[in-house]
Amino acid sequence: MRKRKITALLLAGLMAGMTLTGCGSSGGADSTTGAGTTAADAAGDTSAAAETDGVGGMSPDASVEGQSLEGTVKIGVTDAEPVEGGTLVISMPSSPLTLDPVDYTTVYESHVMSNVMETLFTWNEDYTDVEPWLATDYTVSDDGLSYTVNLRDDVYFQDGQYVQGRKMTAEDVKYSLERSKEESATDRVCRDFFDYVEVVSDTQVIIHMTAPAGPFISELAEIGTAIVPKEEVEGWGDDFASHIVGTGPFTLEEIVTDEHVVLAKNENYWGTKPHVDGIEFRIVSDSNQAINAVETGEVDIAMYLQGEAIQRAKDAGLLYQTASSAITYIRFNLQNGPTADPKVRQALTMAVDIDAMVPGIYQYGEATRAYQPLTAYSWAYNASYNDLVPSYDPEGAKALLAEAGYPDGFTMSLYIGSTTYRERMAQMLQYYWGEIGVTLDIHSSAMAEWSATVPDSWQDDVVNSYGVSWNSDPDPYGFVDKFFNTQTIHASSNAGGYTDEEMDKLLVEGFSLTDQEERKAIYDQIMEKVMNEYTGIYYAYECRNWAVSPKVHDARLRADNQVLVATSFNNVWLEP
Amino acid sequence: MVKMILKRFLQTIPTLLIVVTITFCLTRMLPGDPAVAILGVEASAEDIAAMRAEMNLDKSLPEQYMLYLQGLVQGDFGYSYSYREDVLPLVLARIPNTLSLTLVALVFATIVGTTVGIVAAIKQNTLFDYFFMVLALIGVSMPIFWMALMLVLQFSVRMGLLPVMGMGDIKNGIGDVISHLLLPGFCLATTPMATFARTTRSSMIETLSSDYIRCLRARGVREWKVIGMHGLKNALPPLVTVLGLQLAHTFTGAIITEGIFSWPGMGTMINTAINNRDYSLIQGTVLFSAIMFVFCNMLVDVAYMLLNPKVKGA
Repeated sequence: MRKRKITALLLAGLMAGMTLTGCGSSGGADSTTGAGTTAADAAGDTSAAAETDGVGGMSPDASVEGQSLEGTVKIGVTDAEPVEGGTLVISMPSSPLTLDPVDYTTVYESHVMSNVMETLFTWNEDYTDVEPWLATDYTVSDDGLSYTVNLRDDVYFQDGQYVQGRKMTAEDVKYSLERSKEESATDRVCRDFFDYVEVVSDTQVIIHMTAPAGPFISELAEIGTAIVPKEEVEGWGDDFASHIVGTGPFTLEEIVTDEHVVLAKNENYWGTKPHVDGIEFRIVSDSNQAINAVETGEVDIAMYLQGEAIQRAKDAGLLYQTASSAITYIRFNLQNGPTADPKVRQALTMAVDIDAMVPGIYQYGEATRAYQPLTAYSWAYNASYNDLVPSYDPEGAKALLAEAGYPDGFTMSLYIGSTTYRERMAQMLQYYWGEIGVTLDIHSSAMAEWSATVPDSWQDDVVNSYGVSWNSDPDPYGFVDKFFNTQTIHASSNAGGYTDEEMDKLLVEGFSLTDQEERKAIYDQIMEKVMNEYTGIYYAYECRNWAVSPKVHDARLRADNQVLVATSFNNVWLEP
Repeated sequence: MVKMILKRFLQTIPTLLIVVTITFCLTRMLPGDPAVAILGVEASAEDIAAMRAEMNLDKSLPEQYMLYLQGLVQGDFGYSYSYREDVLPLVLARIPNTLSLTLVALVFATIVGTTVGIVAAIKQNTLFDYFFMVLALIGVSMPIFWMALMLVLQFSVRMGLLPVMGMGDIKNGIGDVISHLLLPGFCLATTPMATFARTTRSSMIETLSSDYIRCLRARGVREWKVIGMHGLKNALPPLVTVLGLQLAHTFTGAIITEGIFSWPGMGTMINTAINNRDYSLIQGTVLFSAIMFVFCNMLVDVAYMLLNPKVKGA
């Protein structure tokens, strides 16, 4: 009898626990500390704010508080006396799989790599331009065919299996860059233009090009071009991917796939040593769980929050939203079907109230309205072209359609990946375009199927438009060259089939100039031309959503999703 | 007996062959190119072609199928391109993690489920009975992921008692392992627990109303003996069936729980494999799950034979 009572009690207790949690779910909103303020303050610190004002203030209806369009956002206090020690725990949804610079393909890998390995150049604090890092300075020849790069004299590799704290020399630079060109599965170091590296002395190399390439130096800031020691790469063979050695502030200690990656402070680091003892990247696939873990202190920074987790982070006062290095857009079929007519494309753009659409799609304020096919913090971004996007005018759109020969409208298709954001966007377009008599057929599928259907679709009248996003570093080359170059006409980035001789000439010019001012003038021309051709609706910058524990200080969150831990301008420390 | 088991064992081979064939076909029907999934959309056409050749994807489907079967017979489960490791060691490394979670959940479910079932049967049609049967109904129908998040909110975030996720490390002591096991274990246990409670209850009610129990009671045998020794023993066979099925179900159901709790088991690996179009790994993990399933069914059959000798001839 007594036993029965105990069981009953136990079970009743269990039940009570469950009921409590049930109520708890709705009471989550009571802890509203200044999330918005923290993030907004951080944004205010960043100097590039003025340039992007025109964009930031565009969508008053969107809940954009705390969101910034700058390339980098500062976290925590930056002027207090730092505390040494502690492990910075960062959560990400997926495991890094290979850490070899020539093989890596995902951001999860670059998070780990960029703390262990270093490149000749690195992005500056505002994420607008590159500056020397393992290099000290460089000069370009007048013909743009050779770069003379001087190297630091005080850089040492970490201890590995085959090298023990050896000094980095010009030979390592030659080996690493040429390996990156030869062995990378994707285009690194502008491989079609980069020829070879000539070693002049231990601290000087000359990089020879086959043709001038403007973005070359910024490509050398990409972690796929990191300087690695030959002995380790060849000693480990394929296993180097899980035993990387570099010159960075942290060393790789342990990788447990789908669990975590552990880095430890490099005691022999040539630069300023990190305040934290190490970094642990923990794999947490569920966004809600990531927030829970930040709240309990198990995780310090949660990356890639999605959906409701964003609201939860906001309610808990932990949310940071930063601009993304991607532009989200729909593009039209420029060669076939009704959208081949620029007037039709202009009408379709005019028919959409983009200012209302963006906050409608992104309910948690996780995007800002965009105008141009370029990130707003890029040096080539010119906000004055925003006015070239026609403003919302359904009547005007109808008139234009009639002018183009479609007084009763027409039926067209839109191909998107089946995510909530894209589907919501498609439904809104269906409404807006329906208002001017255009019937929209939405084709929503898995991204893999999308990639199989959309590229090259300009060749016929099946795919009239498609929606996707495109991600690149801030060099305009990464956007406009992929979108508008005839050479990319078979790639997904130019599936609308943009081809124009004048544009190709401009793009080559913009690419081959090495002076940024001169390049900007060219890209201005390009952008003006493109914006007047209504190639698509470049509607949003989807932002990165982070939850950061208040005990994290002097961190930087960057638009390309990187958490900067120890760099020339910041050094994370943890409040005990 | 041994002959029976052997026969039962041989019967699993065609089943597994069918599983292999179906998974092979299904993975090939997944949209998207694995080479692109590995190299990224920006990779050049030549690089993709080279990758496809390396993965044997340039061969015809029957050829690929034969190659795969040949490998399987030789114990070669293929190479996982997303993890860059052979499939077999990869899967074998994960099985203990999934198995430990599954077993803890099942043991918990069995103890609590059967106890509640027995008590509910004895106290049939009382408040206790109604209460727990409604609870069991909720248990069977509640989505695990919702339940998991609620439990974490309460016990980890609010009360700070248990870790939010991850698997404990024995290096940090047994307490670390147990505290990490509690929430995922309990979540995974809800469905089988509820099922056990309901099955035990109905089986017990049936047994307790049979003639021999009435005789035992009439002979003055003590009530706990009647229930615990005579009743329970005869109520067991249907429970064993359910247990076997639940073992397999829990093993595969762990996919969701593992995902939520970042538990490094088979589930997280299957997710990664599918997202990366990692054909060999998808096939490998599905095959192993199928082996588990078939093996559990076999165990049930054998256990049945032991418990109920009448089944032997069937």
